[in-house]
Amino acid sequence: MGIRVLVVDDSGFMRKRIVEELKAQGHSVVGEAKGGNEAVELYRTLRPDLVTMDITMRDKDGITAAKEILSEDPDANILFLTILNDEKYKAEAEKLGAKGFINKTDHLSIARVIQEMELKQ
Amino acid sequence: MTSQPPREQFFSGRGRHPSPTDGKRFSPLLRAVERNKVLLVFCLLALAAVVVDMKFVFDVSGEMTKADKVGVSNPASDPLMTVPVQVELLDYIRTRMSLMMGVTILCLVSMIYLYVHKIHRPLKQLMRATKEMSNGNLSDPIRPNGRNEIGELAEVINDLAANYQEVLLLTGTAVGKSSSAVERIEKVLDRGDKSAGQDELQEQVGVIKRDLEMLGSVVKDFEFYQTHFDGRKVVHTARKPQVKK
Repeated sequence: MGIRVLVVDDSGFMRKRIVEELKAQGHSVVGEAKGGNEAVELYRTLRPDLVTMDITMRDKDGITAAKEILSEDPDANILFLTILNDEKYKAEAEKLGAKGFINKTDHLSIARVIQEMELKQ
Repeated sequence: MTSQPPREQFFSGRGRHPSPTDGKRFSPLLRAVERNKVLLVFCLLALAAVVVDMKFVFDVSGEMTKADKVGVSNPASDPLMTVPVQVELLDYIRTRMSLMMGVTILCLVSMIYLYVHKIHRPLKQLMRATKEMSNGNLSDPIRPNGRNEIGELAEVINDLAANYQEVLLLTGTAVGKSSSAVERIEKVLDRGDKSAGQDELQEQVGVIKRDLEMLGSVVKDFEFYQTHFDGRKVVHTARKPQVKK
C-alpha cells in the first residue's frame, strides 16, 4: 500500500538514495525536483501524497518552497529530510505544519512517519 | 626513489594534462596566445577572407582602369565597342564583390562578437568558479548566464558541487554523532560500572556501527578511478578491458 512521493533535493546523489529507500519501502516516486521552484511546479502538476523536502538548496530553499506549496494546498504533506541539525529550522518546520524534520540518513524515522501518515488517512 | 616532477598541491594538480608551457618561463604574450587559440584562429580566418575579397575588388578595379585607358587612348582598336561593355561588366562585378565583402565582414564581426560574449568569456568565468570549487570552496554556486551549452555545463558543475557538499556533510554528521557516542562510552568505562553500563555501551556502539554502515554505503555508491572500496579498505582496480564489438 504505497504512497506517491515527490522527492526534492539539490544533490542528485542524495535523491538517488532517498528514491531507492522509498521504493524499498514499497512507495512510488512520482517525481524528482532539484530545487524549490521545480518542487512547487511539480507539486502543482503531480499532486503527490507526500513531498520529501531538502532545506538547503541553491534554487529556492525548502522552507520557502514548503510555504508556497502549503499556501496553494493546505493539505499538502511535507516531510523535511535534511542534513541540518538546527533547532531554529526544526521550530520553523513545526510551525509550518510539516509532517516531520528528519535526518536524511534516518531511514527508520522516514518509514515511521509515512506509516503514521497512512494510518491517519 | 626515482626522481619525479614536483608533486602539485592535491586539489589543483590532479588530472591536469601537462601543458607545453609547464616549467618554462615563456612570455605572457605566448601564454595568452596559447589560452585563446580558438579565438585567434577565428580572427585570422576572418582577416584572410576579407583580404582575399579586397584583393579581388582591387584587381577588378585595376582591370577596369586598364580597359578604360585602352578605350580612351585608341578608340580605333575597338570598332565593336566591346571595351565599354567590358568596363560595365567589370563595374558590375566590382559592385557585387564589394557588397559581398561588406556582408562577409558583417557576418565575421558578428560571429566573433557572439563567440566572445556567449562562449569565450562565459567559459573563462566558469573555469575560475570551478577552480574555486575544486580547491574546496563550495559556498558560491555558479550563476549560469544563458541557456546555451555553457549554461548547461554550469548547471551540471553546480550539481557536482552539491553532491560533493552532501557527501562531506554526511561525513561530518556521522563524525559528530559517533563522537558523542564515543564520549558516552568513555564515561561509562570511566565509571567502571560493569553491569549497569552494559546497556549504555551497547546502545552507543550501535550508534557508531550505524554511522559507519551509512558512510560505507555512501562510499560504495561511487565509482572511482583505478580504485574501489570493498567495505573495509581501498583496493586497486585493474583497468576495465575495452569492449570491442
